[in-house]
Amino acid sequence: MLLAHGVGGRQDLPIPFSAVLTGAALALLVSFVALGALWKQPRLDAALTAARSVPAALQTVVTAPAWRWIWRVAGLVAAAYFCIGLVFGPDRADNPTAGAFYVLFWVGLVPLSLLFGPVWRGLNPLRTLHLLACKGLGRDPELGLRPLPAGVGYWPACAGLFAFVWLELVAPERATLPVIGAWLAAYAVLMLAGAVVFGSRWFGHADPFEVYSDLVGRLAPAARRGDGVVVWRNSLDGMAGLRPAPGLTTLVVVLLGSTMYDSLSNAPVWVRFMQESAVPAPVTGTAGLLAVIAAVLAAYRAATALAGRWGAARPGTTAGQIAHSIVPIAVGYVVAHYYTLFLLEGQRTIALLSDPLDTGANWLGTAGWTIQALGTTPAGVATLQVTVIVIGHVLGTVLAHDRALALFPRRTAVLGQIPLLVLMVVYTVVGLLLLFAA
Amino acid sequence: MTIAPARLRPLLAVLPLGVALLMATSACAGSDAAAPAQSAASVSAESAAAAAESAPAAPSEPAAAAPADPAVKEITVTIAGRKVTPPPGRIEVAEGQTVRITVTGDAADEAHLHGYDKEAELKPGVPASIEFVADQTGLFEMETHESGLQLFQLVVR
Repeated sequence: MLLAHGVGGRQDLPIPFSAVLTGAALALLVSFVALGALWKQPRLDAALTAARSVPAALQTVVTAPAWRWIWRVAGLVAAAYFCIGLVFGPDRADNPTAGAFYVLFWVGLVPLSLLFGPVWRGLNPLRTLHLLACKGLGRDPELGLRPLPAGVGYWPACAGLFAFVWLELVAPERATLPVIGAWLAAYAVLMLAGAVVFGSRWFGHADPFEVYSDLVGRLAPAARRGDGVVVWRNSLDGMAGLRPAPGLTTLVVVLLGSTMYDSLSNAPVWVRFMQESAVPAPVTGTAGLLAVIAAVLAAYRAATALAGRWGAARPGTTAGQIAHSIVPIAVGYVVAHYYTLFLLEGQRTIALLSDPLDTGANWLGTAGWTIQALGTTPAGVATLQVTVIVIGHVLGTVLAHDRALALFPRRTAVLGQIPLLVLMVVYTVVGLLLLFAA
Repeated sequence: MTIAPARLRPLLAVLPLGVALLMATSACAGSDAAAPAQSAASVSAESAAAAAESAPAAPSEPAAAAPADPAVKEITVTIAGRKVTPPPGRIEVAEGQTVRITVTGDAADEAHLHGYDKEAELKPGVPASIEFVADQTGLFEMETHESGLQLFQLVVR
């Protein structure tokens, strides 16, 4: 993700081809193991009935009302500080806004959610503002002017996510303050207006960052169960708890496709094509983004339709039921792609955040930081990238396997899984090839 | 907390094996052996039919990955309108090598090498030069500010 002089100055080396081959071989091996040697009855415990609860002291702390308020206030304060640089800072390379938005926030949501669950729901300043306004007016924040229509699902969040990745990958001048400010203003208006009309449930269906954090957070090691008890949870059980909903498939595909487009847009072939074309860059960029997302979606729908037919499942249900297994693959790819950016640009941005008005100040004490390499050698980075992609593939394969056992009758379970496993191997290998060539 | 429920153990056993395989592979393709490994990889990439997207990356590599690296790597770029000659591609240099980039454009502009943050003022028809030692590894883009054209990607191994 190269935005401007400020963000993404140094990018990762392409991984060696031997790494692509190793990763692809492992992906294939995992798929065969899944088909042959894994369990024969659905085993994942989405309802977490057998999960162990966290130590009592931790349970008390995390379920206290004060805990939620601390994080709500923290989110508001962080957002306010961010707005200082956005609204009052000069539009120069040293302004931390672009780095804070695209790197610390967007990329940072992933490790934060992987560790702690759906964090943005707790930090979202817009949700907090809505809550405070409702308390001030004596209204119930969950009730709006009308109920949320039944078939809405994740469609608004899907649109929001596409709007964000378009901003991040295609929009002209996307690291400048006016563009970021305009996008955030529109986003805030839409979220708050929706919350007024439909109540606070709107955020869970429409806020792309909350939904993203929620999806990734299902891989976290601890979770708050339905009955309010916080339990230790393994990632597979957590991810299996993601129920199909309208728009979920497209949302996950947009996530995976946009990261693939980010890789592809850096390939010399694509750069040459975009520069030598008479069509303006934002148009070719948008077309490219849509084409990659469409290709990922087409592959997904074809594979799940075939799997549904061969596995003798109820027609039209397979796509939605399997969507949760693509999330680990997408997350693995996001981690591989943005890891060094987060470490290196993240440090740089934290240093710049001490001086959002570019006056030579040092409000956070980090202005004098020098960027440390933190172990980002080419060999180390390549190893990490292939490892997380393979781990994502492993998790995805196991999740698809378990769900297929529940969806398909016994005699067709093996046959029905083959298109799904092929799909995942294709996604993983394409991801590896993009890291190699683009 | 149970580290690994029995049902998941066979699968989790594959993971450390996989990581070990990867470590071994990247240790063999580590930074010292990077240049010959990459040339070998580019040859195998050209013969591997499956890697359709690696084919465009391969042609730029044989030109740049000469076994006996000259002391100074010369890179020359010409810009005419929106056309960049040679077309944007990846240029490989070894870490620690001195690089001299000469850009000639037909319009007033500024060429910028990201990461190293080196800049060259472009005047129509006048070649502008930047010389530096490539002491950071990674992939760095060179582009122009006004016209927003990418000139090439410098790959330092």
